[in-house]
Formats: sequence, C-alpha cells, structure tokens
Amino acid sequence: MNSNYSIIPFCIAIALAIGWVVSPLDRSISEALGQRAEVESLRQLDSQFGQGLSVAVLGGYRSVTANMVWLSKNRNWEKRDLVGTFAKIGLVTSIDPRPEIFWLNGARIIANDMPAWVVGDRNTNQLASTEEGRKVAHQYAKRALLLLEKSRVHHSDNPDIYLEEAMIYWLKLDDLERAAERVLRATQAMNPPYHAFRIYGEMLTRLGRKQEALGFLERHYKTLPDNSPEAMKIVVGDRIRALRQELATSGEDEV
Amino acid sequence: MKAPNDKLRWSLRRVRVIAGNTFREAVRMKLFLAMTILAIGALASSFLFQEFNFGSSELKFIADFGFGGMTVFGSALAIIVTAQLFYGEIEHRTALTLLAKPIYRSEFVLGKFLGAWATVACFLGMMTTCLIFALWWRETSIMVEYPDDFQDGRIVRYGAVIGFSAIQALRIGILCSVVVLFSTYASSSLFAMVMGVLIWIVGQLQHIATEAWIAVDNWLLKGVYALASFALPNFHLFDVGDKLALGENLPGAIYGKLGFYSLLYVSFYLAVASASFNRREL
Repeated sequence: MNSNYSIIPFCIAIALAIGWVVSPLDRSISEALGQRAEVESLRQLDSQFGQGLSVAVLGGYRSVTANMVWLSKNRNWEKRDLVGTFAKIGLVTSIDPRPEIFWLNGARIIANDMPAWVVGDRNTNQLASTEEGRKVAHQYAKRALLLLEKSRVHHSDNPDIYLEEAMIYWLKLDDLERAAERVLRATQAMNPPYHAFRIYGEMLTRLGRKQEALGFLERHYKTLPDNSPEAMKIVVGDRIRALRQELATSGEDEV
Repeated sequence: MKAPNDKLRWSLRRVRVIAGNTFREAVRMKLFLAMTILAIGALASSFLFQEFNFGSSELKFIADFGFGGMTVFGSALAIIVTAQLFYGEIEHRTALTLLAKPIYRSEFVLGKFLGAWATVACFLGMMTTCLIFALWWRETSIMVEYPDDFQDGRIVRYGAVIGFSAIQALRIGILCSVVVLFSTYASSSLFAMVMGVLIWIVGQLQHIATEAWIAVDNWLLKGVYALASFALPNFHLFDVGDKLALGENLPGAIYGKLGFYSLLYVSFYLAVASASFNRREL
C-alpha cells in the first residue's frame, strides 16, 4: 500500500530544523505570557509533568475536576484516613495548582489534623507535652511546609503562603526566629495584608528585639490610612506607645 | 493518481470547492451535532457545578468551563472529523473518483484541511457565542445583586473571550494539519486519530521537554528531550485562558506571533502530507 516510508527521515530532519528555527519565537511567546518556569530539579519536573498532563487532558475542566477531588477528600478526612487524605491533597494541587485555598487548607490539615489522628483525640495534649508527641507534630509540620514549598512555583509572591508557613514554624515547630523571617517576607510580598505587619512587630517583641519592633511599627504606622478598619491604625498606635514606654523612649513622631 | 496534466495550473478555486464540500459534509455529520450539543451542555452545567466551586470566582469558573469546552471538545472534534473526512475518502474509494478529475493531490490535501478547519472554527464560533451569553447573563444578575462591586462597569472582557477563541482556532489548525499528515500515511482512520491524540498530548507537554533538556545530565535523556522539544509544536503556548480569565491583557503582538508560529507548522505538515499523498497508491 504505502511506498512513502523513505521520506520519514527527511521529514524528521525538516521537523527538527523548523523546531530549531522557531525556538526563539517559542521562547519569546512563552516569556511574554509568563509561562516559563525553570525546572531546577527532577522533583519539579515530575510535578510540572503532572500539571502539564492535567492541562492537556482536562483543559479548562481541571478546576471542576480539582473541586470534585477536593470534595471526595473530605470523605477521607472524615474517616481520618491519613494516606487517602494526603494523596488527594497532592492530587488536587497537582490538577489545579492555581487556587491558593487548596495549598493553604491542605497544609492546615497536614499540620493540625493529621498529628491528632496519629496520637488519637484523647492524647492530643501529648503532642506538646511528650517527646514522642512532639516528634509526630514536627514530622507533620515539616510535611506541611514541604507542600507549601511546592506551591512556590505558582504562588511565588503570595503573602498568605508565607504567613501560613510562619504559623507552622511558630506554633508547631516552636521556631519563632524562622517564623519571623517568613512574616517579614509576607510584608515584602505583593499586596501584603495589614495584619502581617502587626504580627511581625509582635514577633520581634517576643524575640526580645523591641527596638527593632518599635522602628518597624513606626515606619508602618506612617503608611496606614486613617479610615480603613483592616489597617487598625489605633491598635498599631497603642502598641507603639506601649513599646516606647517599655523602652523609655519618646520617638520622633506623635502617634 | 498524480498531477493529471502537466499544463494544469494549481488552482485555489478547486481548493475552495473541495473545502466547501468537506465543510458541508462535516456539519451534516451526527458527530458534529453531538459534540456541539455536548459542549454547550457542559457549559450550561457550569451553573450547576457552582455549588462545588472552592477555588475561584463564579465568573472565572464559568469562563474556565467554556474555555475547557472549546479546547477539549474542539480538539477531539478536529481529530475525529479530519481523520474521518480525509481517510473516509480513501477508505470508501470516493477519492479515486475525485482524483480522476484534473486535480492535484496537494489541492485535495489543502481543501480537506481547510474544510475540516472551517468545521472546527464553526464549532468554536458557536461555543464563543454561548460562553459570551452565559457570562453576560450571569454578570448582569450579579451586577443587580452587588452593584457596589461594579462601580467601574462590567469586569468580564468579552473581547478577550473572542481572542481566546481565535487562538484556539490556531492551535486546532495545527492539530488538523497533523491529522491530515497521518491520514495520508495511515492504513486506518483509527491510526490517524490515535496519532492525533498522542501529538495533542505530547505537544501540550513539549515545554516540559524543553525545560528538562536543560535540567537533565544524562546524555541519552537529553537527546530524547531535545528530539521531543524540537520535532513537535508547543501547544502550551496557546494556553492563554488563565491570563484572559483573570482579566489580564494579552500584548497585541502575541496574536501575530502565534499566527506566524501556527502558519509555519501548518505549512510544514501540509507540505509533507502532500508529498506523502503524492507517493501513496490508492
């Protein structure tokens, strides 16, 4: 039937040549669309492959598929099924990594709920009081941090992700220094929430760096609008006054 | 059958006639109707699935559904219709009757491609109209409910929906030309369809091969990734739905660049398809 197999190598060669010729155009389009994500490790490659495949197969339907998987995850969560819940959190964030809610809620489930499932409801106090309990809590906190770290490819400058990491470092790993570093990043991210600044000030105070906290809050106070309830300008002013009193300094500006 | 007469001039008119017949034949297919109804039904179901939406805003969710219908059903339609219309002619021997007339095989290939592409463009046009209507209707009711959120007017950019549809037409044009190429080789329409699906998926993942090519150390893997990244078109470039649904503007030059990119690949695949079809014994 077919006598045209001889042209196959020739066609492949031309296809490669065309690919090579259009590669600068390909690069310029993907850069203009912000599609270029550097693959630094095989783990990243693996995750990108999963997401690429989901886009290829599901297209725009991936958001509804992710929502359905998230719903079905709730059944695993109700049954306290560690493996199922963990797998579905991974699957949802792989199918549709765009909504931050999957990453944040997934991390909260891993860091807060899963250790309680491991030790049992009656023994949750052991998570803080015994060495074994702390080990369990730390293990799951680290897993939650790993999940949030993966979200960075899609939410590189998201203050909520930094704040969630900070809460895990602070409340689950008792590492206030790292928690403060994460909150600082949240304040430097795009559109940081007002409460991130207040939390950072509080963390610096708890770390004993009161002078630094005072300076930070004074700088922040100047940027706050008067009529925004979220800004809580009065609360920040009160905190500044309290810190000045503790440090016995007067400060340059009146608050 | 090769060129019937050395003096016969290659004619766009004959291409147009073949394309017109192919288009008419395609839109009469039950499959086209079924796919269109299915895609519009899927878009309508986005209103039902609202209850299960956790991650994004309502209008973005509807837009996602519409964009999904265009890409998934549009690509499926492109693969099936092109394979059936092209290979069907060979299988049912109707190509012999047609090619016995003074007509070049390249005219036949181009006409079949344009007819199939026009069919999918027609599908995309209907989907775009339905999506715009669905978004406009829902946005209007939300505006009545929450007028404070719409002080600057409507938030959906309807021009962007048309832009998305145009970009998908380019992507599907490449896909149609790939299926035409495989149909000229294939010994069954199923083979052409399977190859079309494979190229669709691999083309969607092509950008990962490009990144991997740089990241991997193993030379054998490097070679495989290089082959995949250069030999196939990058369909991921056409995934602009996220940007448009989020209200971002696409630079005007992108449309031109994507058009040029598609034109290059379509021309190449059709040229190879013509060469292959010329050598094929029917």
